[in-house]
Amino acid sequence: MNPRFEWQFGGVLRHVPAPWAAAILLALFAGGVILIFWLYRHTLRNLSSRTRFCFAVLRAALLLALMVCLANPSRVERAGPDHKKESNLAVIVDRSGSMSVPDNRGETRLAHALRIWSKHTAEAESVFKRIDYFRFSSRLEKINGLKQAASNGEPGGETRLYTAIQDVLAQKPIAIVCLTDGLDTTGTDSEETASAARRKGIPVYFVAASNRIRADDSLAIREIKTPPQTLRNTEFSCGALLEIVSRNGGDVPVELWSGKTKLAEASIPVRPGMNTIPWSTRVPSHEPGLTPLEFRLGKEGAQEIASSTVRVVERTDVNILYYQGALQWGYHFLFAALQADPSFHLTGILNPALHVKMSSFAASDKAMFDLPETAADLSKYQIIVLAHVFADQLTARQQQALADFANAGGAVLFIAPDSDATTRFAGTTLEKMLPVVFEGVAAENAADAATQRFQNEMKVENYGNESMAGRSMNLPVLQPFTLSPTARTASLKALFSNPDERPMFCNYARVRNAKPAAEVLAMHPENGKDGVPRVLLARQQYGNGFTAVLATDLLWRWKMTLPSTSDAAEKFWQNLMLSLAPAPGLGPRLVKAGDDPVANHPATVRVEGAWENDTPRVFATSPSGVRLKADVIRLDGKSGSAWLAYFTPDAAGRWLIEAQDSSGIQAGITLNATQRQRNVELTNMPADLAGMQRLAQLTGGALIGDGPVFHPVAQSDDALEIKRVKPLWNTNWLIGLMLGIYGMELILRRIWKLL
Amino acid sequence: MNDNPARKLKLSSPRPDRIAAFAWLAALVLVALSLCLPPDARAGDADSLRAERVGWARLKTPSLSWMRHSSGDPVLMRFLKDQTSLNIAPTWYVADVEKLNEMCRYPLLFSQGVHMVSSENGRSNTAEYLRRGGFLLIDACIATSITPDPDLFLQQESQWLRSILPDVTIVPLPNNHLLYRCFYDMPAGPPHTYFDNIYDSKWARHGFYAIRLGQRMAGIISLSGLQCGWDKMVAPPGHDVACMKMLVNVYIYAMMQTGGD
Repeated sequence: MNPRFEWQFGGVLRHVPAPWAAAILLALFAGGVILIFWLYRHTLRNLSSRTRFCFAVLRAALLLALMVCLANPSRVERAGPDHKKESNLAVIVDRSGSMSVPDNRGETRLAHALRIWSKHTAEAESVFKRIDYFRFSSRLEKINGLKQAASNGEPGGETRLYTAIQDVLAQKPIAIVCLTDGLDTTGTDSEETASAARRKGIPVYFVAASNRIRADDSLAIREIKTPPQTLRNTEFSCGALLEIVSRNGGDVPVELWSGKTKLAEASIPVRPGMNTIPWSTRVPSHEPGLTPLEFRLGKEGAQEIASSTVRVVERTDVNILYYQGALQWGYHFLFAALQADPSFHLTGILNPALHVKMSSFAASDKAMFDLPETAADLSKYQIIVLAHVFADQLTARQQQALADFANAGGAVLFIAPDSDATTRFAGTTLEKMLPVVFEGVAAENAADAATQRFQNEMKVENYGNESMAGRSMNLPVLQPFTLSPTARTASLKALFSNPDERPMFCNYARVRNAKPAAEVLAMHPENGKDGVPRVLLARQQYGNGFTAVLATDLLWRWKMTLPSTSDAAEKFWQNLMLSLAPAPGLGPRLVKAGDDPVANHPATVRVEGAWENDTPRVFATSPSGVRLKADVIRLDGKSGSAWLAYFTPDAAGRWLIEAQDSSGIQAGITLNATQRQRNVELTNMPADLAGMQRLAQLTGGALIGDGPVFHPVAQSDDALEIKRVKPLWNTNWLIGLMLGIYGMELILRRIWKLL
Repeated sequence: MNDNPARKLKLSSPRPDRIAAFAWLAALVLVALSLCLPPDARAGDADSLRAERVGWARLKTPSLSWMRHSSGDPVLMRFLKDQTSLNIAPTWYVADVEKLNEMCRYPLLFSQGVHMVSSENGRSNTAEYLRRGGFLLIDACIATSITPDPDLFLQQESQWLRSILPDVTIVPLPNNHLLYRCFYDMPAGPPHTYFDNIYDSKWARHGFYAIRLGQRMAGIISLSGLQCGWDKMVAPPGHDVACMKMLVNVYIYAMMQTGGD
């Protein structure tokens, strides 16, 4: 934000242009001074001219202070990108192998991209003060000039496109231009890159490099993600990252099996070219034991397979840290709801500013009286709940600790029913990690907001004289949550589907919008005035963890309306917490390490995740059914969860690699061995035009074609949104000064017996 | 001759006038300085920390004195609002024991006593209210015409509660309980109001009695006459404030308890 000093005239001068308003005030001041000096010509007693002058000056000083108050100087904080004084453009050139493969006309993708970019070089030089050039393949390097970026060095064996963009974002250019075919070979999520660019306000443009080279269709399951264990009779999420290369596009089937039972299936639409698609589904867990899972990609008979095992347990421990910022009844009811299940362990701490000497923690825990300032101190918890928290009560370090905690795999649930409190979080580290953007209050609406608040309170109840005593308290009506049509989490969807058990809220905070990557779970039953749905419950992945917002109260009034035999409130809270509680680690899995295996050459597979006993045994089954034992070594000499398994396929074709330990935990993957070496860069995959288009649109950029792209950016502060207006005249020192001046004058008048 | 009027004034102004003038000036400077100093953090911050509004309600029972001392409730509400960041309505409300939905609007209900509730509906409503998580504060009025015998009152309340909730237990709270130090430190236990301000050991020997449902404290039976105290019955100076402080502790404990204390 750019805080700066700004004159804002108030009252009748509010809508008068600033120069005129200043002139009016100056004229009033000048007239006032003349009048003061004229009135002090004659006094009750004879005074020297010096004394009269002193009195007149004191009175004039008071008048000046009054004029300053009327002028209403204010500090205005505006939101917007923090532009540097120098505007620089970053151009990054993809120098991976796929950019250097010639097609049937001898043209490479790199040459195609350079040709397009050369038409815009002059335009870029006229708009930007400086252009920085980079090249990347496996890593990013800064280079002097486009020619060197395009020609120096050999083509690399990887394309770390999104990593390169994120590295350049850290240098805060005004914009980024990528000359690339968009084929990131590392599986990095482009959403994270888009979010990072949006947060920084840096648009990403693409020069889409393509040529006439054609790719063969191929399928692969790059990796799967399953939890190592789950609670019985609940649901858990499992997913797979699918790599599908298609010449013509279409639909590709994917299935999830457990033994002989098909648990889920989908038809994945793919574009022509390279598609890296995450697919996930919710799976119900049953009785304690081992549940085998197998992902199958493609049509029957030519399916790629990846498998894992999930252990279903009787109970699991979820440690929750609950921090409450204001005094309210919700904690008591939330605690009771979670206490009903021994899996939950709740530690409660109160905002020290409340001066309440109560907190709840286990006898074995270190006493905690405030939210910690480091993520390490939060690491023993899986979920942090912040309820009724105010922005100015959380230090920057506390907020950063929460962000680091979520990034490392924890979950943060932010509960706030008060719009006035949530607006104060605008622009903070906390808001950046949450899945919603809270509604701000524009300067012009500050007075309206105060009026509205007063009116709302008057609507809620009658006020304060004893004639109103003895009546029943009028409360806002309890309203039900409405399931969002975009909600994906099946267990939470189920909570809102039964009308009798749907949670109901009394107060809620206004949310401007959910962020692009957020999953909106529940909404207000009525849309806002502008027709936009009002988000009540949303969550999103943040790093390795989750963040969620419940923009309502703690639902204790709803609980009080339910019969004591109902467990709807308990189910809601328990399921909400379980949906956020991160599964510790990953389930057992095999991951292809490096390129496709080649016949008669050693191949490597990574064995990862939670294996219960010592080193799992790994076998590779050939296309003809011959079983080979793979050599397994532990990675880095550490005990636990990572090994490399080596085997040498003696024939091309589909191989099934399986790992198993003595407890019955198993995982598997299929790999296609080829006759000749073939890496991802040389498989002739088509450019990912749609992916580049999407990333550009999400960040405010575009695909660069023939038309002009860059326009001079007007750095007018007036275009920036006002976040906060703080009047500078409304301070104790100014009022104290005015009182002091006036008091001094009165005292002196008394001394000189004018009073 | 010195024509300087100021000097003339100086020679002629009596000393007390000058002293008075400077005293005024000093007072004014102090006032101005106090405006410049940051305001009392507790009071100022409390206003910015208030959550959603709750109400204070009295339980309406067949007893004729169910709303006795209610005129003092707004004073109590003001005290609660000024001393804590609780967002409590400034007036008092009614929750009829015959209407469960009315009772359930308030997480804490104040009562003069419940043993006179004889209707099946009222009894089941009270039981259901407590099971849902409500908190019942029963405070006997110390007027001998209202509560002639505190022991009998305690016995009647306890028996009545056990009759509607067989699993409830009524246990005396020791003076070192968290309730007596969760906001204000009150190591001596609850302050006692005495009829006509005359010490009576029959009342003095009673502290608070917790109404326990499982691990949770679902209410308190008080024989301290707190309401008589905050309604400014005859008592030593400061006793009304002590009673209100005790009520603050009760309210905050009821709101923040997690059981097992």
